[in-house]
Amino acid sequence: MSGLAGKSVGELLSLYRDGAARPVDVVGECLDAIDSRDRVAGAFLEVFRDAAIARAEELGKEDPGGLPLYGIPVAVKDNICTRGFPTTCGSKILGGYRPPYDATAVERLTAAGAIIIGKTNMDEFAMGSSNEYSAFGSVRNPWNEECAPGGSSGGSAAAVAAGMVPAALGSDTGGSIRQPASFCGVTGLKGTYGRISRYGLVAFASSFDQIGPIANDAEGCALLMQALAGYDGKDSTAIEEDCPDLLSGLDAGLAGLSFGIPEELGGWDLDPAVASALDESSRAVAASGAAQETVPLPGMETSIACYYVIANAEASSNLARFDGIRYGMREDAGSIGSLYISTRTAGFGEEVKRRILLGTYVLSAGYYDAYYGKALSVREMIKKAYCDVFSRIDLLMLPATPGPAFRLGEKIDDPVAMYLSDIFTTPANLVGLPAISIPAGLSADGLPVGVQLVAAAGREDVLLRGARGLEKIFRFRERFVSCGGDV
Amino acid sequence: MKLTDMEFNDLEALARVDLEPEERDRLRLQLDRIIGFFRKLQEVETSETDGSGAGGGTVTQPAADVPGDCLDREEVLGQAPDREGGFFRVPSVIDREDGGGS
Repeated sequence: MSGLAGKSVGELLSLYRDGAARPVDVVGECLDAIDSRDRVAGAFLEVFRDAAIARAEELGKEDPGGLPLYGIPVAVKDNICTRGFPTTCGSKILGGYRPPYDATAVERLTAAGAIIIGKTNMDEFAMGSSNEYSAFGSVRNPWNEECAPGGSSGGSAAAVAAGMVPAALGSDTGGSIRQPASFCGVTGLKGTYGRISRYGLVAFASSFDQIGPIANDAEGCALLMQALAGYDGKDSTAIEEDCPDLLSGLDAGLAGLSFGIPEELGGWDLDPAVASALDESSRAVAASGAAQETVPLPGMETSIACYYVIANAEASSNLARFDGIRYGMREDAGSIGSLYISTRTAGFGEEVKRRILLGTYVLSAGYYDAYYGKALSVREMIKKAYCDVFSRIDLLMLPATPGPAFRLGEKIDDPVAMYLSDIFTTPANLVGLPAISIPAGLSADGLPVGVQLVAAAGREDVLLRGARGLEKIFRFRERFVSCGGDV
Repeated sequence: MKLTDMEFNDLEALARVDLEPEERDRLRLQLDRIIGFFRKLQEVETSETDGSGAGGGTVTQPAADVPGDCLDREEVLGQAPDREGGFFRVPSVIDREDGGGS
């Protein structure tokens, strides 16, 4: 059977259970797809060819029904630690680093039967919305190679969109799973803050960072999330409560749910395809018998400033550890102080330096209260506003991004314009809520656009049920020719 | 309000980076613009918050203060750019008059 690499996670599990495919076949097709398509896409930084084949052969001796992710090849974003394999975070400063441990997320995927197939390209230290800030070259959008795949998990989203793997892990600090998922026409899920352990995720902004799955559909995300979620004593921010059952109610439909659409959306200049996708969603929700209302969510633009102040402050602290002493590259110098400076100057790219400088500024004496302290207060207000909204509705529906993928280079010299492409995704990170981007349609230029759903804390089950319901209406994979194979 | 030369020099020193002149000029302009964007926050009335940023969020629990498994020393040191025995090797921390020491 050919075309296995482009199957969804659920489709592959069915084939395995029916004896119609073996893990070695699927891994072989994924590796072939990477060989033929990734030369242009640039989605992978490292492919674990031999290890993936060996693992597939091992799994071939096991019962396909015994493991929830039996034989599913998964690509892993390169800021998630993989024992003995390179983990660069898209940065020169971590060149040569091979972590002596696996991230909890990687351990859990492997225990569930998944096969880690390689590491995906990303904006350096997850700082970016276009993947242009990788030290190892930009990823190209599989739908149009002149366009950005989004970021920072652009390599993971492009790998799934181009049919190189059925699923991937990304990380989402301000939209870094949902925005590239939207740009690449795939489904990307960020769980409630603390749902998936951050142990082994190289820290960017610790109060926002979350690992999450990217797949072809909501079911694939649900299957991965169910395996990834759960308490981990190695992460003090991991949620202790069990993750709800994400699969049994997945097909329960939209009826009985209540949706909210932010009043403030009317003030935004949305691409016509994004506006049309939202209209279609709204009509479908009404037709399904679900309740729908507009809800006030003031301060959306303020939330971007709030996010970037706090995230950069946390980044400037977290990235202090990269100094050329314990891992990665070193630029030799006569004293330890000079070594720190020369290593960081040579090892970090310009966007990372910009964010460290900004974070240092907002934390410095004289400016702390005006920027960092103020942003914490604004974050608190945003959290209260979302708590009020979710006392009335189950799901918030809004765009994932204001428009489809922009062209590579279009926003590279305008950081504020780049930051504003995260306008609809950062609030879920500020509040710690679960959110998902679902591919909804194509723009006039043939580029995917996504619709985003946000749920109350801890309600990934409701979120995925709503996503599955909308997915059945959009029928994105059926309606639009897969781009796989021609990138 | 723009960053002064002295402020930008301080930021570079605190961030432990040393920018090339061209990169410095570019970043300085961009920082001015981004900090101007951050000033939007001043327009928000926040007198009713406690400034913690928490707003009813989850509370993290400290780990129990008991010894547990740790990473293998050799594997960890194996990642270091330079090592000596069981230690990370670094240049001199305190300058000596004879210029030696590491």
